[in-house]
Amino acid sequence: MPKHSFTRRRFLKTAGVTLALPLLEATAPAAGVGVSALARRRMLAILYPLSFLPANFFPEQAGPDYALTRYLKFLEPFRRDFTVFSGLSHPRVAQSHYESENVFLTGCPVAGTIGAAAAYRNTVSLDQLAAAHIGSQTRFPTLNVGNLSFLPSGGRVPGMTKPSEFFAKLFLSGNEQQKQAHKRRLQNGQSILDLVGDQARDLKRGLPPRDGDKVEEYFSSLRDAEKRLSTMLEWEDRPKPKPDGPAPQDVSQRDKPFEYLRLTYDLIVLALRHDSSRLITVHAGFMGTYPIFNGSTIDYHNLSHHGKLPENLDKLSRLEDESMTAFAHLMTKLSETKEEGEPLLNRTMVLLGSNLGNSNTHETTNLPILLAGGGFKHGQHLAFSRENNTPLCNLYVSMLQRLGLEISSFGSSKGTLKGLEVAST
Amino acid sequence: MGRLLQNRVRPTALAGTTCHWRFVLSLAWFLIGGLPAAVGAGEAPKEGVDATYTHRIRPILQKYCFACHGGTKPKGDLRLDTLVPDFRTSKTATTWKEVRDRVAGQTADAMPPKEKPQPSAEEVKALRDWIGTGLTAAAAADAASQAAEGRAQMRRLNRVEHNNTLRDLLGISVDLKPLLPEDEAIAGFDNVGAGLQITRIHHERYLEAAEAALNAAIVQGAQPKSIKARLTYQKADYPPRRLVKDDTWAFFISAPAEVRQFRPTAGGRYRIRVSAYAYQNQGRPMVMHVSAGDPAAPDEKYFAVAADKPTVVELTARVSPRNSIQIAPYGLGLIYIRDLANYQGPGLAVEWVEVEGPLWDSWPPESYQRLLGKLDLKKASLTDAEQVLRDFVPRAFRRPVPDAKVNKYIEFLRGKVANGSSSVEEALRQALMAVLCAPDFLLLYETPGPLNDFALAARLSYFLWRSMPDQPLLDLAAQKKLRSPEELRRQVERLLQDPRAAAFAENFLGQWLGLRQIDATTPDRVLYPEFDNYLKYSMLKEPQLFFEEMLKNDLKIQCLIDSDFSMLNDRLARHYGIEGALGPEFRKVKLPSDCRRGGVLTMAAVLKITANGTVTSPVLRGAWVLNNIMGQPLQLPSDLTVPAVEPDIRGAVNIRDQLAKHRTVAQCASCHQKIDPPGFALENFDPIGGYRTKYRALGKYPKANVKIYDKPVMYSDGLAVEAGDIMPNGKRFKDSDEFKKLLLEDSGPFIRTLAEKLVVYATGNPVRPSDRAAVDGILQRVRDKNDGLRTLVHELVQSELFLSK
Repeated sequence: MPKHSFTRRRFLKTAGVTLALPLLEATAPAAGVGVSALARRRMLAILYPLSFLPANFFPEQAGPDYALTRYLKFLEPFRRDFTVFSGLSHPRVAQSHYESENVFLTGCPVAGTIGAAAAYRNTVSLDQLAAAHIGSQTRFPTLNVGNLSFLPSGGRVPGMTKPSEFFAKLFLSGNEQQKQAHKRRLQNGQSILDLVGDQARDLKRGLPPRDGDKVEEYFSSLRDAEKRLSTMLEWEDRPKPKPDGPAPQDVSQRDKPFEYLRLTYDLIVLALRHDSSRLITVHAGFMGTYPIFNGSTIDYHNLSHHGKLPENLDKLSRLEDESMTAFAHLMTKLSETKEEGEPLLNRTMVLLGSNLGNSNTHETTNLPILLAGGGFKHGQHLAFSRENNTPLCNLYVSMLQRLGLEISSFGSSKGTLKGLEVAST
Repeated sequence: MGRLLQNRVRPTALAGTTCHWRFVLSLAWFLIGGLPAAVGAGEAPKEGVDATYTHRIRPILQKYCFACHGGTKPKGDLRLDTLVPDFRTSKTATTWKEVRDRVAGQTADAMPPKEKPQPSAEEVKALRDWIGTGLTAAAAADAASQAAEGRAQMRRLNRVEHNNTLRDLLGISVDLKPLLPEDEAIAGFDNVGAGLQITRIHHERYLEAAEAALNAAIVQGAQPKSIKARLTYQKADYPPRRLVKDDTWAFFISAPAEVRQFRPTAGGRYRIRVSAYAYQNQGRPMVMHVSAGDPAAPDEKYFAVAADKPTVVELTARVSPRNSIQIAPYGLGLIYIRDLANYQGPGLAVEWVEVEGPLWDSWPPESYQRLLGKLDLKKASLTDAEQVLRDFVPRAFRRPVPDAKVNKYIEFLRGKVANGSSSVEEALRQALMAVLCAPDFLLLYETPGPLNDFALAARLSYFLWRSMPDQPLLDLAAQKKLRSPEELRRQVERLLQDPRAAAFAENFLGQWLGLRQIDATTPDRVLYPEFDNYLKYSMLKEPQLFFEEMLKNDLKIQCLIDSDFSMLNDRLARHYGIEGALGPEFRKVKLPSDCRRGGVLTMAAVLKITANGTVTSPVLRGAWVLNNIMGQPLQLPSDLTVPAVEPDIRGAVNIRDQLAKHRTVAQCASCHQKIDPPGFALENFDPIGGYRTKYRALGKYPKANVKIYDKPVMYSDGLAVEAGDIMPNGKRFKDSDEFKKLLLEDSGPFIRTLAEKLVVYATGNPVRPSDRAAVDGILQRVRDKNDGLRTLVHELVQSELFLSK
């Protein structure tokens, strides 16, 4: 192969792949491929991995006049701002923690049962798919807390685990010298990737096809990395927003899961307000946590296997009250924070749900799901069959369309979710 | 008929042709085109595919099978009316094989069920022959493609290998694993090509890891000051302490006490010596826990200290700035002490703590010299830097590298310096980073056919060390001496004796036995108050030391099922109810004849990872034993129509009664009569691996008459455990001992299972049907020798599976 006087990066640049920076006031949206012109629309997806006690979550009546259940009472002030769903799930998902969490935002089927899931290759998660279309409009295409996000290849996006790290990402860029050093590191990274990319090209020649595929995987992901580096470099020239307060003190997620969650929610509201990203995922990560509880400590996971013991059910209900309180706190902040006179909540779809329908049995059907904000017509309980569940991905398609993606299917979906309408403005 | 398949593929004729893979590729196209890609719901496979299938086989299936295994709600989730007559994809091939094995088999799960019409002998024969021929032809086709492409797909280093390789290449000791995304496992192991994706995020993280590794290796300037100091505890409220003489403080509860005077400013290895003794312990020794370093993954050890007379112990720990040292007496509980001044209970008296570090073997450190020799990087010329690269590239790539390739990195270096963007040092660092991000570094490079010597050296070292080959291996490869059976044997012996071989037991058992999941659940503190960190630490060591003991002495593989010894320390011995005063050091202990332990199945760690923190489930444990020990992985139903058993710890419902529901529903019975028995064999073991005859329950019952740290426990004795069951072949057993005996009556399936797991682990590729002959060969030779575990490793290394791509 002749030596390239023309590097790939230069090629990408000249081919116009380098992404234009958004306007300072992004009222006029950057038009991407397959994205219709829209005001800022955002999505926040939150997973509570240990489910909710079904009786405390699901209303009995369908429609707008349902009686609020124990957990939904926490959201009473927002009754008209959210829809609660029953009878939704991903078809064919093993009844295990790890795998069902991994596919919560992807809808990828996983055969198997509790503790024995079959091998599978995950598919793209909601946020990453959307990021491919609208991610370039913000400094961070997505922000991910905990592991819930997957690339189109099925590879995991490692999430943030510390509030301080989240804060630093949003607001801190160091002094001028550090900024320059960081920029230089990105540039060096680019030139290194250039060099090793050429090596991959050389290596691929003469390989049998299956091995060639592996080198191609190396090569094409390298391109993605290069693109990301060059976008990051361009963002380097724009200052990060000024923080509203000091960096948060990290709290132990293990010992104080709800405090951790609240801190995370506060940072998310900041991230949305400053438009640092429009696609955020949160894995609440309750597994193995020991919320301090009336003086005694109990592992949240063990409690979720309540074994029908009345004391356990009582304690678990109170823990789940805490989960809902934290969520209500988020809702309050999102409605109080205004953008162009409109509550942030109206422009942010907030999905709250679990991968398990019942943590004692580990069922992955009849998932507790709730969607708030984002400009939908809310205020009802949309009840689907509990025997024959409707794909949760139908809801995801509705959400993706709301983000401006012109798609009609995702995962197991066959269209949008019936009964969920966009509010007339 | 199968002939059709055979006619399409003449596998042996392919081997030896040049440029095989192009041919195989076109062949694959032909095959795909020649068979139905998929069959729509309810519709029969198309005419002309396989005349035998259409005219002979399908009618038989129609007559006897489709009534249950057809339509949209097939029994056992097995649908035969749409099963494609294709033996090349493992999924359909496995199903066809299952059909062959089940039809008119002799076991209880034979099909059709006894009460249904049975096929004639000719019909059975036709079906079996047709499936058999199809499977054979498919295996031959697979062999052909392997001859052309190799069995293993090219793969990248996983993050353990990436970390170990950088450790050994550069001589550094920082943990880089947390920088990389977790790897996904395929066929149970995280070193299989198909699972080792390369994503954008990997490249970003490889850059970070390379930078961090080089920063750790290239330590410059004057040698940082090391400290050596003797520290003592001081007055503080918590944990409660009492001054017993001079600077000696005694601690009375098992909460870790931080050595407050230790405030390291430089990271590195520290030697920590502690002088301590058991205080007011009635002349008995005591166990002391010392830990230091990263709080999330500290270096830690348990020591025995004598009574009243100071014992000095030593721990070397990797410490970062602001990390601390913590010391705690073991086994005193977290009791409240009312009158500290006059407390007469046992305690741990600590005289002093001596710290020394960071420890450097030399200055500049070994890592610097290994990369740069005597070169002063600040004053390095371009020529010096070029020489560093010329030396480094082949070492990093683990094979000789053509000049043209090395020159790419040199050009990069020169370019950086020439355009004035970087100093020589900066440019060299970047070039070195590039080497560590290069495909040649990150990918294991093997070519189809027999591995060349360098690829073989790498395969050997990654198998036994999960790290790069060392210089002796590379030298042998350069002299083309590695491939001889004698040399291979010598090298396996040498590698196994090296400290790096600890990675073998750790990673193989970590995945085969699932020991990596030891922390997946935390035992309920009320139900299992005796569970503590020392127990967890000890249970994790047992299988690893046991495996290493077996390797060292080439013990019979059957010992993994049952053995008359295990590797125990005091904590584990107490957990197992074995008498004898042992310290925290592990040793080989002969098990009493009435002891239920021996072999891996009844090791506490295995019993813990197959349970959650509250209850055990015979279904989960049974599935685990079938898959990992008996070699009968389950074909899992993708649509369970009977809800899972809802755990109940109120103490009134027996798991056996709950499961009975499954076993009476025909759809469930065929699987559950296989799954449940091995699970019930382990029913006498609780979620932390303790022996039980009664379940522990929480509820309105009298509390059990047991005390822990003088406090009565909060759980109650629940229903009695009924262990034992009947195997599908009708054999009964009453407990784990009898179950182990049944397994040992025919240990063949277990040894095959273990061998196949090792093949995956050693070669980075799942075992395919076409590997059968090679695995048979290994098993035969192991059987002919002594059934020894090390023999199995040797025979595996000497086999075609290992020696070829």
